[in-house]
Amino acid sequence: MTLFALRFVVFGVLILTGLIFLSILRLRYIAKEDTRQRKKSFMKMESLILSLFDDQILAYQWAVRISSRQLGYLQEFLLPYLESFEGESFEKLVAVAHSSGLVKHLLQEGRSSEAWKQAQAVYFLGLIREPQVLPLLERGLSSGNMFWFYPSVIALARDDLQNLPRVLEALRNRSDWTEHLGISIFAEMGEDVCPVLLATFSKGELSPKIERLILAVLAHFGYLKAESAFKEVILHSTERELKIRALRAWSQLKLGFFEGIALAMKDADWEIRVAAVTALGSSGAVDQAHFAQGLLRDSDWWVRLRAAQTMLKLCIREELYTILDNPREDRYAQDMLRYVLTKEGGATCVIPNFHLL
Amino acid sequence: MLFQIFTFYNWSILIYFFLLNGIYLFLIFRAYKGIREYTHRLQSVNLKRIFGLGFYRPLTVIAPAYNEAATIVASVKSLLNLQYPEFEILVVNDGSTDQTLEILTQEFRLVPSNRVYREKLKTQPVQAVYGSLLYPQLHVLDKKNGGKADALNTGVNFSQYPLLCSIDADSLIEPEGLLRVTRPFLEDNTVIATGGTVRIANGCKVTNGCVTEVGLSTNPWVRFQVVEYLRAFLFGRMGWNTLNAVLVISGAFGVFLKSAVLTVGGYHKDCIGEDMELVVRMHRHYRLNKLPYRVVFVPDPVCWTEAPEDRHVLCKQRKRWQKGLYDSLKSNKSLFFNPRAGVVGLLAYPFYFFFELLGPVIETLGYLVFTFSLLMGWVNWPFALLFVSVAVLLGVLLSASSLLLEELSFRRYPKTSDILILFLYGILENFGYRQLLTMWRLIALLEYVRGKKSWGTMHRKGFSVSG
Amino acid sequence: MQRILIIDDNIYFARLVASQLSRLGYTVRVMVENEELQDLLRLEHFDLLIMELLLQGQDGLSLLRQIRCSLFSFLRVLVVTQRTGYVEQLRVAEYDADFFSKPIDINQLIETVQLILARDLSAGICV
Repeated sequence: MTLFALRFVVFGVLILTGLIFLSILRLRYIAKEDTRQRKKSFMKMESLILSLFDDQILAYQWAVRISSRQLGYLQEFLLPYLESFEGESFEKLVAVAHSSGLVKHLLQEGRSSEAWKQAQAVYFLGLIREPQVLPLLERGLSSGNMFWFYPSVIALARDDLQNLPRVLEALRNRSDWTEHLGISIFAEMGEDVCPVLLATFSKGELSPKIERLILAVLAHFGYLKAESAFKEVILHSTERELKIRALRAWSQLKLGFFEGIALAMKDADWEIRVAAVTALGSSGAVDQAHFAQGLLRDSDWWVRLRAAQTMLKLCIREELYTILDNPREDRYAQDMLRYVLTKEGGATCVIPNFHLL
Repeated sequence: MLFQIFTFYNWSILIYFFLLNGIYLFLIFRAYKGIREYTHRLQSVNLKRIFGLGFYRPLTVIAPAYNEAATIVASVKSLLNLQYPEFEILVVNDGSTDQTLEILTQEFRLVPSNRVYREKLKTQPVQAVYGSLLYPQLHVLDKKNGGKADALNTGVNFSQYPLLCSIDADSLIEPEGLLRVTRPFLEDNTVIATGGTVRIANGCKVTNGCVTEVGLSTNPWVRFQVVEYLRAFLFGRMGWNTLNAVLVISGAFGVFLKSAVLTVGGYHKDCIGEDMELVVRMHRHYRLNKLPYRVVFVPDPVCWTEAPEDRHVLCKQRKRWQKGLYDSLKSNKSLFFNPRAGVVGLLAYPFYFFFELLGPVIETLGYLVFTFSLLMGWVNWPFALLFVSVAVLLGVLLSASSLLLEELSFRRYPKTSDILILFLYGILENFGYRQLLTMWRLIALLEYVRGKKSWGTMHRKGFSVSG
Repeated sequence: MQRILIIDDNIYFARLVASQLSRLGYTVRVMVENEELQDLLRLEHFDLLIMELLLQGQDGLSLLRQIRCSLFSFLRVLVVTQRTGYVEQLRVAEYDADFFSKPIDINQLIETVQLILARDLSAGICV
């Protein structure tokens, strides 16, 4: 038995190692070939694109010059262009994709069983707003893996603004997306989503995660008409996360001061106080700076930091120096103020006697 | 009777080697799937765009420094060149007795700063805080000596951002390295720590703190280490990553969630491998308290480091690692075969305990017993050959498969001759290098158990074009 | 003959815009990796800078800030970027640059470029 095991192990190892050696060499060769081919194709394609845009050739003339083997390279090549252009230039590029047979090829790939190939194909087709991709999205939308869901939902989003409810539905049914990815989906769709999102929000949205996402997206685009919605949330909402986002949106859009912010600054939750005092700072309401001074003595480090920064924005320096010179003022407040002054002013504001908390 | 004992022992050693290499092969197989999924994920979503759109979490880089006058300026400059939308650098001068602080003050025009902090972790007192006039994101903390863990804890106290990155003074991070290694935090809210891959920079061309050309050193010790890093530190860890049981994040480069670090209590002092110990403790805390979490390993090459080029320095490094492993495992004993700890308790921790910690002991004993039995004539040739092949040839297969994986995924060595040389060294490694390392690790264990806890000092060459 | 400098990591995009602009008679230069902006500005004179904020080596906004704090703060800057958030638009306006979001329509871009170059330098912040 030992002999059998010995022979098994030795031969197995030798054969496998030999195979591995040969595969490494083969992979190297393939990789080098691929790099060379890609470089050649890209150069050719770039000159074609430049002459296309110079109106020297027409889109269909591409069909002759791109072989079917190079379609993969073409897909990779066109992607950065498609992501950067719209309008007439975009249409030209789409015409190129059609007449070279890339679209047909990708529609086939979109049905492939390998999820990542499908994801890439779907992403490209979604980018060019190809209507025939819609039936293929079902698999991606119900996929368990976020990164195969993402291109499908982007394709859905780009196809038509009317699809927005479906996008929201798809997002509502999953819980594994982070807010970052959520915002980027809507960022792809452009500003026009804002009115629809605002309407959805005002009608009452069931999922709290989607509510937070909508507020974040409206803040990202700087949609000023959402002001009343933000006000509503700040004044009346009981949900902590939602209130924080509304306050952050308020400071991002640099909206003015109102009593909701004053109320929020007295809230028991430190994150709400931080967001509120930041909103005060960006509102530019100089006459309300006394609120910030009150929060300078807050027990939480972050609240003190933002309060100090707000005071830097709203008050004149003399007032700040008065606080620093006042011996009866809270020590932590003074430390924070001093720190913020230094960071802001550079070396000229350095005060050599520091002490640590 | 003695004969029977020896035969039994010989067979069990055989099984030990079979298990060891078998588990590694299993890990490499899983690593293969993991890496394919990783590269596909990269292609299907343009995460750089998402990052660029402003969706990132700011980062604090903590760089402890002790008597690093020769290299500190180069390291800090390479840190300043990192690409990340928003980050700050905290250099913690751990009571250096040489000119480190003076050189820093001069080079970066440091002035006393009024930075305030909250003392969440107990450390040695901080004597001064400096800010740089040239680079507003650079701060230097001067404190009394307390060891690397203490310095890191001070950095944690002073940091103002939610992510922390602990970095060795002599590692070179790739330009896109930080973006890659913080990507998991962006995708998943439960990630608490990520680690990047460490590669060996000896033989590569380094300009301005950046590796511009990857090459293979001519030094044989370095070549052995390259194969070893590829096998154990890249594909071994990637395999564990697919099981969410990454027990070791390289101390040279790891990113942690600050709240998670504070939850488990920061770095432990008097610990040699404090970075590994922190990660194991995180596993213990989150697993035993049933909190959802993930520790992610990013396979994309991220960090380049200087490997020892001669026997003595290599010996000291490996001894230190073995002692560090002992420390980390000892302080988290409750994970051992603990069913509540899932894969970490049932597979990862025991693996590290039996095969990495006790490995040198068992292996050396095995070799000795085997040789003795051979001399006594109690062993026949087929068995002897089987023993040799299982102990050695399987290792050859492992090294070869890790090179294949490297070829399939990152292909960082552009010259074909380099890969072939590595292939050769992967074979040679099992005929002496491994045994040498085993002996050193055994010595380290014995020293440690007898009470010699010292670090030893690493002789630094300084970072310049090496080769 | 006015000179334009384009800074963008996406070289295909940059080269396409460059070729379209040079058809209209401008001299266009595309900045390659590893070139230092300050050196380039010192060597040659440019009338307009077309910049992207998502850059490899550094944050575009801090680069813009550097330009405005350096000798070349008079330079007209058009920011053409994928970062379309409201916050970025405000910051870019603070640095006295024009904002154009990607995806762009090449004809509109050309019109904007012509408008900016026709603008008088001393006008300061313009409509």
